[in-house]
Amino acid sequence: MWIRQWRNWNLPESAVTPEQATLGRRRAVALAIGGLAVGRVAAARADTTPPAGRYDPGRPLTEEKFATTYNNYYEFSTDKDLWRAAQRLPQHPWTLRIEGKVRAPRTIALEDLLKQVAVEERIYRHRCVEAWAMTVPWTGFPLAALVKLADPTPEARYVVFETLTDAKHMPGLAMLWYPWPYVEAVTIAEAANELAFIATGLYGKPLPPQNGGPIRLVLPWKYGFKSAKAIVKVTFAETRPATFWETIQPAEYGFWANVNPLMPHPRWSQASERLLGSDERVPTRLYNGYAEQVAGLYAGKTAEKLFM
Amino acid sequence: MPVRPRLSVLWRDRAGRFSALKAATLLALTVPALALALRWSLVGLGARPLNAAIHDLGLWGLRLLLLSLAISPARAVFGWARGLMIRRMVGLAAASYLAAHFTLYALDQGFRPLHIGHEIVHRVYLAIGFTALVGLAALAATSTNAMIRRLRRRWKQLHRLVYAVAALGLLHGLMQAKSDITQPAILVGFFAWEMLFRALPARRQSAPLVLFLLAFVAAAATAGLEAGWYAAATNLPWRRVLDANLMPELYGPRPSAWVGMVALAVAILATARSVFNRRGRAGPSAPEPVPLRG
Ligand code: HEM
Repeated sequence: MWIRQWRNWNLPESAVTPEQATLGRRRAVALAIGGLAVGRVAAARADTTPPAGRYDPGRPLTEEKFATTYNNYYEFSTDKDLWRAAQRLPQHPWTLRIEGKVRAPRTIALEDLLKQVAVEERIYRHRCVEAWAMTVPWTGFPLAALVKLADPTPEARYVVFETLTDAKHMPGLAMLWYPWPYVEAVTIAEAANELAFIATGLYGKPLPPQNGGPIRLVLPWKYGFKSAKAIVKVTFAETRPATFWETIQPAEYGFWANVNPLMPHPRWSQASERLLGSDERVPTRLYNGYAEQVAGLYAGKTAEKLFM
Repeated sequence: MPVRPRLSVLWRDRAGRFSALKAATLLALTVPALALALRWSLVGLGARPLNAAIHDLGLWGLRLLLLSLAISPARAVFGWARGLMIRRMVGLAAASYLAAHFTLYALDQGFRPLHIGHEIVHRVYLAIGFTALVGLAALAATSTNAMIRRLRRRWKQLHRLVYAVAALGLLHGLMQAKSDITQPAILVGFFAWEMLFRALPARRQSAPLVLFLLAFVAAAATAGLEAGWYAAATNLPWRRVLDANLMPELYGPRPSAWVGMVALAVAILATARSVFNRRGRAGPSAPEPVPLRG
């Protein structure tokens, strides 16, 4: 095991707490190697018990200040530094509408929803279509739990996520030529995959509004734009919906949008990615390195443009 | 005997006297670079500093290039003959910013020449930027007094390339945008204004009425080019983008408004100047013949 520790010099995910998340990687290494982390590991196991090492990101965590100040969120602005503007977005009360091909459409308050699921922490690599990446600890629950709760009928083939449109707090919505609301979707099979996650927290804190707070989707094997933020509606549909970016530029952003280093974006290479807040550029991996968990979803789908 | 170039050419005129205009221009041209360096070293440029710096330098390079193209129009409209003293400096500053833009790109790609070559060949927007940069390098290399003397008439022909370089730079800037082209669209609008101005017959170029008309046409052209880009490059409803130009209360000033306002200001100043001149104050309204290039 110690060899693994050397190779992936970050802590195993079970050891991560908010303070450690912001530690420099050298200190994290020192902590892990010095055995100082042992107590913490045990403590963390006791309360959150994530399956140790299952989704070991193999990379140091991104510093929190970078993950929370460099965001794509067109509802606020097309600039990356929208985090200030996003602070005004009210996060409470928040309700989620569940409808479509479900046995009982309903509206559920976020705090009630959280009572019905088991919350856990997961460290995922996140890959943006713009060739940058971060590694962050999300808290939340598997999307599969939400699907189970919604109780879809057999006709449901897609799960469709819709982002809030609050023109009073989201100045970007004034760009009326964009196809608001932001809509993204996955197939029912993708939604059932163990990696598909609904996040309500980041770095052990409530999910900040600029990162999609209070509730967002996280699909670590797909480009970031698939993971809708500030979700207000989840619809179970029979047919594939028109999604936001696919509507804008179908030749550049597709429905599947699985990460693939060998499929360049028409205007830039996807072969490598720049890690936020560092001088490191690292090779991009197929399905963002999660092929083991997700490749099976796409077996036989040869007619689809899976990687765009 | 060959004259050895001295650094002081940057702030002395041809006769060797100190030129406040040149010195001030030199200082002003370093401001964006200094501001960038200061921000970078003091507060940092955020999560992707290299990319932020690449964008900043690309935008400033293009702005300065377009500014250098505005200097002979300024002479035609305002009789600002001394402007020609600084045109070369502005052009070379643009070339320097864009050289730095490319250098940081190379740094961002890990200075791997083969990989960079491969990227440039395979990404159309990079191939276009590269072509523009090669053109710019040719212009910079032929900007010495000795080269100007040597090339004579051919120098003028060669340096018309600057319009192609600017057009390619604009196209590169438009293509790299993910979907929001506001910044490049503003620059496209200014370029359109400058090109329309060049198309005017010389004796009409300082006529106030013509300049007012030009402001209107340039603003309309900006709106048209912006909407046209959305129509060609995206699936967004270009009609809505076009309509947004008429609803500033909803959308704020669009690129057409920025271009229109600056062009309008020029027209108003030109009008004031011609009224002023007609009141009997001295000063020919037509520009005096001036030696080119300070
Ligand atoms: C080999 C030459 C060049 C290379 C490799 C290059 C590379 C780049 C890159 C990588 C970007 C940012 C794209 C992104 O973040 O996705 C960019 C943006 C830009 N470049 Fe270049 N460039 C080159 C030449 C030029 C030239 C000659 C000009 C101007 C005449 C120029 C003007 C710009 C502008 C205006 C932007 C957009 C800035 C913004 O809107 O934020 N580039 N370039």
